[in-house]
This record gives sequence, C-alpha cells and structure tokens, in this order.
Amino acid sequence: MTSPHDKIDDWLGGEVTPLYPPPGSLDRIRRRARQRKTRQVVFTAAGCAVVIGTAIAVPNIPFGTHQPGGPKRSIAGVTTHPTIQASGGVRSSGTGNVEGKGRKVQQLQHTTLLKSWTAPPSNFQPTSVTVVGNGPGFIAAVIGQAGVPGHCASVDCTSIAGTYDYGTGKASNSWFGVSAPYAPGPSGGSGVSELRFANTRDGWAFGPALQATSVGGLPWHPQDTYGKRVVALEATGSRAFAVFAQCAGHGSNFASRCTSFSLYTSTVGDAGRQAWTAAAVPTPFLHMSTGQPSAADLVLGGGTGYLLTPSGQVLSASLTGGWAWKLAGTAPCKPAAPQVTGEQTGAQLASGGTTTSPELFLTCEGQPGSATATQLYTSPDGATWTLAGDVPVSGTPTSLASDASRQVVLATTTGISYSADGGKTWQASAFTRGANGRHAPDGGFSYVGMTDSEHGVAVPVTSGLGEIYVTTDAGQHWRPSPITG
Amino acid sequence: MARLRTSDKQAVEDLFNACYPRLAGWVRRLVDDDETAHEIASEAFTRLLSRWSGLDNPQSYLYMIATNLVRDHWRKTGRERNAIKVMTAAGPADPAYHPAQDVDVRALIEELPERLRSPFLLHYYGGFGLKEVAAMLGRPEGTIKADLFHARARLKAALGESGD
Repeated sequence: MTSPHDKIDDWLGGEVTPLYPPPGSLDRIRRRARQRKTRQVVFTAAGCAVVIGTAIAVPNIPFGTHQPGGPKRSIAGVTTHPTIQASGGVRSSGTGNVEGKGRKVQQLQHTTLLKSWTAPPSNFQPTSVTVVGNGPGFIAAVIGQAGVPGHCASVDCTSIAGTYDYGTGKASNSWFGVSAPYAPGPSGGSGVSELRFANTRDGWAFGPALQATSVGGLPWHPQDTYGKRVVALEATGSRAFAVFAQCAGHGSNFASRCTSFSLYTSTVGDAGRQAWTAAAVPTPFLHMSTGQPSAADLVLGGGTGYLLTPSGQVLSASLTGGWAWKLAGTAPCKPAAPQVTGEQTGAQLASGGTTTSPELFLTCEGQPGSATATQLYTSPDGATWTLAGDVPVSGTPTSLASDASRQVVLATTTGISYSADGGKTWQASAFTRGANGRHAPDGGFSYVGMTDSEHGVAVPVTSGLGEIYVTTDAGQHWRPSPITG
Repeated sequence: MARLRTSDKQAVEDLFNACYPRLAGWVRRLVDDDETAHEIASEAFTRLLSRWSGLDNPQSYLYMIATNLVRDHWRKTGRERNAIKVMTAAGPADPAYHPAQDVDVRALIEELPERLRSPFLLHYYGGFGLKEVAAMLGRPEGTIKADLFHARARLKAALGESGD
C-alpha cells in the first residue's frame, strides 16, 4: 500500500515536462501586450492629470517618483550585461591575455549567468565545474544531474548551479540555479556532463553531445557534432576549440573506447547559428588515431593553445590571431585510456607561466627503473621537455592545474598534491570533511583547477556526494562545498 | 507609446525562450490540459510585457500571475463540477466522492486555502526557495515554512482519509 506521504512526494517529485509554444506565440503575446499597454497609457494619463491638479492645490504635499525595489532592471542576467572585457575559467578561458586551464585570469566585468530562479535541485550530482572571472565577482558554475542512478540516461535532468563565493560564504543559500539545457545525463552518444563558459553569455554543455548558449543559459542550442562525441572543449574570448572523437563506449563511459580524434572550432557567440568546423591543423592530424582506444588533451593558456595528441605529439596555435595549429614537438609520454568523464588517466597537461614566459606541465607515468610512479615534466613551448621531478602520489593522476606562480596542483584517484616550486617538491593536501576529520572523498577527484594562486576547485569522482571541493590557500587545504539551494 | 527598445526586445525573447516551456509545462501539470496551459502561459507573458519596465524579477512575476490564473481556472472548473456534485466543505458530503479517485493530489491542492496553496505551488511546483516565496508573497519566511508544513499535513490527512 502506498502511504499518503509517499504519494505526495511522488507527485511533487515528478518531472515538469516542457510544453513548447506554438509557432507565432511570442508575436501574438507582443501584440496583445502592446494593445493593453496603450490602454494603460490612456488611463495613466487621466490619472496624472488628477494628481497634478491636487499637487497644485496642496503645494506642501511632497510627491515624486517611487520605484519599488530600487533601480529598474529589465531582467537580471539578460539585458544588463556590460561589455565583456575579458573572461576566464578554470577550464574555460579568456581573451586578451588568454586564459586557460589553471591560468590566472583577469577579473571579469560581468553580471551573472541566466538564473533559473530556482534553487539547485536536491540530490544534485556535480560532474564538471567552470569558473567565469576570478576574484570578487567571479561565478563558479557546476553542471550535473539530479536523478537517481540510471534515471538521467533518458530523462532531461541536467541542472546547473552557480555561486559567487564557491558556496563557502556566510549566506546559507549561496548556490543559485542557472537555466540548464534540456538534456539527459551522459549515456553513450547522448547527454551532457561537462560545462565551459567563455564569458557570462557564451557557454557550452558537452560530453558526449554538445549544446551552446549565447545568453548565459536557456535557450541552449544543440550543436551538430557529425556523429562524434565531444570529449574536450576549451574557449578563448572569441573562439572555442573542441576535440570530437569516434567512440564506442556505452552508458556513462561515453569517452571510453575512442579511436579517432579531430580538433574542431567555432567562433564564440551566436550559438544558434554557428557551426563547428574542422580546425586548421596539419593534414596528418585531421584524424588522429593510434589504432587503439586513447585520448587527447586540450589546454589554452599563455596566449597559446596546446593539443596533446593520442600519439604523444604536441600541436600548438597562437590564440591571438590566425588560430593555425602546427606541430610543436613530441611529449615524453602519451595519453592513456580516459576516465568516465573523458579525462585521460595517463599524461596530464596543464598550462602555466605568463604570456611572455609560458610554461607547460605534463605528468607521465613513471618510466621503467623510476623510483616513483609519476613524474612531472615542464616545457616552455611543447617542443623541448625537462624532467622537473618525481611526484610522490599513490593514486592515478586524473587532472593537473597550474598558475603563474609556478604552483602545480595534481588531482589523483586518492587525493590532491601540490607543489609551490614548479614540481620539484610536493606535499599532500589536507581535507576537511565534516566532523570526520580530514580525508579526501572516496575515489579521489576527476578534476582540479586553480582560478588564481590561492583559489581552486576540484570535482570528486563520486558525484553522488553532491559537492565540489574548494581551496583558498593555494591547495594546501580543501573543504567540501555542498551544492544546495 | 514607446515601444520596447531593441535590447528589451531581445531580453523578452530570451526570457520567453528560457521560461515559456517550463512555465507552460508547470501549468499543464496543474490544469491537465495543453490548450489551457498555453492560454495561461501566454496570458502570463502578456501581462508581464504590459508592465515590462517596472519589474525587478520577471520570472517570479510570471509564476505569480500563472498561479493566480490557475486558481481562477480551478474556481471556474470547480463551479462546473459543483453543478453535478457537491464538493465544498459547507455542503453535504457526497458519499461517492473520494479525493484520491478524482485527480489525486492536484484536486486536493485545489481545495487548499489560498493562504496555503500559493506558497505550496510556488515552492514545491515552481521550485522557488523559501526566501523567494516569502518575498513574492510578502510574508515572513517562517510563516511560509509553517504554511508549507500545514499544506502537506492537510494533503497527507486527506489522502489518508481517502482510503489509501
């Protein structure tokens, strides 16, 4: 027998299926609104005459314009966007001084993403985070699903949450809802699981499908990926790059069993009309394949984009003009089989340094004879690589981040380690986990990124925890930020 | 009369694209009829556009209008239902009527007092947080919380009485 309580919960928990408007609805609504507004103007004019007359008769009565709620706004997050000067993100990017993975970013003059005006749903399970801007006024946005396991493979339960303070501020409800694409969770070739924003308007939800917005939220426009799966995406202020792959992975392992990779690009903005086209890469790299499941890694930083190919070669392109990719060199190792989220578990690439003195970091699984399982290499340009040192970690590296201070932060399947000297020495990060003391979440982290030298975010492998982790002391300590409304 | 500026027109279009499908879907769950849902959603947007420049939170305004229109729709259909069966608490009980046999929870929500129904719909159905609902209805957050508790208690009791 179903209890009354269960029945109410079932009913309340039911999905709201969108009901799309018939063609011409908005035009009809506008006409009706104009007609009514005309009538209102007539009525208001008559009312004003009365008020003015009264004021003249009783001059001591003060009167003026009253605007409840302070200055008028057309609609938060839609029409109040000022000119975007620069943008950035932990994994998305910026313009001008081009930003990228783990790069320090110029503060963004922004307003906000398009709020959904609803709180993040309960049971929100984050799978990806991106940060727009940094310092005071940045926005961290997290994408994930809110259904029970398996539920989101067929139901559009993708949600996005945003925060101005990583969810660590004094406000109890510092996470707000962002209007998300109508999409299920990742399953084979459909659904989305990752998020990037180039600025507060232009963003992409991807992995394996691809949707784009130019208004910071709905409407999200499905993008043609030509039957391929999007396994990586980064953006500058004016251009986005993505790795499209031929994959055979099932379910949430959408990025597994990928055997062919291609780099695609699209201009930023006007998401409803732009098409993705093959990027200008040397002919041998139009379709990158090693003949067996592999991965590719894409980072943007220091004014340059870098692509680590499945065969371990490094392509680079200037992001300040032309966007033509060329072969820069060969890395000391190559990517390996990816995680569920698309991150490769072999080589991890990150961009650091400055525009005038860029620096690439690359983790490789230890060479035969090496005392440790993981080693860090550095390069100024992707052409020449130098061993910086061994990385004493016990888990498998999953994500690497860097900023201008030569700090390197490495996420693994057991925790996070950080280096303040370009990878020469490493320390294990400490974690705050409620009353249970300090330990990393089971399964470790699938992603880590630094927004500046002090602040960073990390996504646990176990999305069911419903939280991301944040650091405010350069990666020394991390604490969970539950994504709740 | 000044027409909407270009930026406002774009904002309206953005809001329409962003909100209409969910708003109409939200209404459909309440009225169980696509055509009525479109009528109510369209009317909500029409009223929104009629006073576009004076709004600080258009989405909240949309849902408030829609909630009121749904309430009006329920009143109308309730009157029609009453023509064939007595449903009001003041009237004699109809032994053939059991809430759970009607349209389940939705029918019971129709019977909630206005004081409880609006916060219930906005919070549980519209997805607005307690603070937002409190601001929209002009009541203290604690009052909204209590109203939601009482609304759920009434629904639970009604469903229990219906023989479930």
